[in-house]
Amino acid sequence: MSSMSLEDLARLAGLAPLPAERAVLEARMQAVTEFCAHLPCLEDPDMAGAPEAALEKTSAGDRGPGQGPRPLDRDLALANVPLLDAGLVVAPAPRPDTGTP
Amino acid sequence: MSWWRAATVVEALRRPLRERREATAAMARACVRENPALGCYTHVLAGDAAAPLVAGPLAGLAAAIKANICGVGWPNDCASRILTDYHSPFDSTAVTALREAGCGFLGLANMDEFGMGSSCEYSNYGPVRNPWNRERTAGGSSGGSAAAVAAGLAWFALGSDTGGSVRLPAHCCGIVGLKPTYGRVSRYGLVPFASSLDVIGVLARSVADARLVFRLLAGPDPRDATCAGPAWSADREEAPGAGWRLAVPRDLVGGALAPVAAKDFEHNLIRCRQLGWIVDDMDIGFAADPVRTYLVIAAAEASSNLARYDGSLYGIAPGNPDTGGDDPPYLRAVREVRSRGFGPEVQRRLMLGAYVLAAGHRDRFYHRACAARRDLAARMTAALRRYDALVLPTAAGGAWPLGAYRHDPVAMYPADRFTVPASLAGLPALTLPTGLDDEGLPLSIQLVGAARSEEKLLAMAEALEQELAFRAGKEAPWWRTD
Repeated sequence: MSSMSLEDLARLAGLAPLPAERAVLEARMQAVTEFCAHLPCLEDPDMAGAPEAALEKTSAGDRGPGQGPRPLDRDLALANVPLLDAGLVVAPAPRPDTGTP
Repeated sequence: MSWWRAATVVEALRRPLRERREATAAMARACVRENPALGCYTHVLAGDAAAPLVAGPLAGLAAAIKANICGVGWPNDCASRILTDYHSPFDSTAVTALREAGCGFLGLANMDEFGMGSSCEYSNYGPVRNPWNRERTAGGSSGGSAAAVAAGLAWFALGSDTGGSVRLPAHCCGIVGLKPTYGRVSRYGLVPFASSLDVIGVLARSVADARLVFRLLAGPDPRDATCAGPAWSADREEAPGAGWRLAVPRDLVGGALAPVAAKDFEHNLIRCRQLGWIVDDMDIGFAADPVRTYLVIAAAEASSNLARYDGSLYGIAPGNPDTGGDDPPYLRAVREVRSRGFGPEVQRRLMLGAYVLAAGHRDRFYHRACAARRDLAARMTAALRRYDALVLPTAAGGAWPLGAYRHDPVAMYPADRFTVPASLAGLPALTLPTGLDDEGLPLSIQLVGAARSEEKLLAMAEALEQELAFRAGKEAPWWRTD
């Protein structure tokens, strides 16, 4: 379990402290933590194959120093692998001056 | 028993328009009469909404619309208190397509709040009850849509599928559920839960009905940047093929089914072989558990999407903010609105989303889950280059008792284990009812096809439907009282 408390998480989520059962929430966080701890192999670039390479290629240049994270929706629009495979969804080209969409 | 209780859309369209209108009017009266016992509608519509005088291929018929699909003339509250009395000022593209086809609307189908759930118990309107056994779940999150169609309270229904929310209710209620390829049906006007997974799907009493409705919905939409179509085309339709090749991902199926469901599944594979199809076993070898991958991604996206409900533009009006200590009044008001407006399951998922996206956690959780998703999609796509479809169960057994997971919501997650792979990969999938278990509850089989292969998937399902000769509800007990 992370060092973040459930109270911190509730504040992040814009909710009053402990809006739901502590045990259920802790079990859910624990399940996610354990799940992600067992994914080291996915850091191997050979593991994910062509779709991952396509994603990396289409999103290159989106994040520069000091520009902060990309908007989440941008990640989501790029996440659809079948459409990317078919060339039906193409990421917008980064603007050359700022590198941001 | 009135003929319309068990009739399909295709059968109804063979009758005169006048008879269809009379049947739909009787159906609307039955909705008012029977909805309190089933809870399948949040709002029952009447008058022009149910019976528009518009010509078109669906004239005289009417559908149930899941409460998260926007349309003018009804409240779209997503079964959530936070959107109480919200009325959309526009029609979703899917609703527009049905209106133009002359279709009416019988009501807003009950659902898990914002689509977050697998049992339709997390609704501000109370649970949906399964028409086959009212002490059992109708599945979720499109449980109201499925129950309405199964009970003869709608000719067909629209639902939305994020991780199985069309297919699981279709399984529980013994009807056909089609989840299209991500991006083949416009999401414009669908209230978002997890934007990279959400798809509008069809729930119907037969494969032919599902095809008829899907044909109206499929196609590119300039108002949805992720919707690339293509539209339905006769050129893409396929005649049943004797040599179709199916694959069963045994590593996903193995040991997960109840004995009666396992027996039914193997029996269905035999029937596929009797159709002349080749059925192979394979190990698909996902690197990570699809359910947990889904859990991380869906929670992250929900956390982002539901941030808009803060009581200013969307959401109930702030009350008396009494939480947050020394925080500014605005933040205290936001917390008060969201804590009062969202139900407990939505709040749990928002907190999980905040957890996986928090500073320092994003690379550790969200991006890893995205990598696991890409691995899964690559493996499924590779398998579907060799096979026409993957065959899976939809669920591990028949509909489970209402309240079974009330004290342990985490234990309900595996209910989605057979449906989330197609969702994560953005692939089309269809649930077909196949028979009943030893408690008289429906069982089903799920076919997953390559991207944009709905035409083939529907042809395959229709051939299997005819081979199995099972149509849910012909003898269903709740109709005999009509």
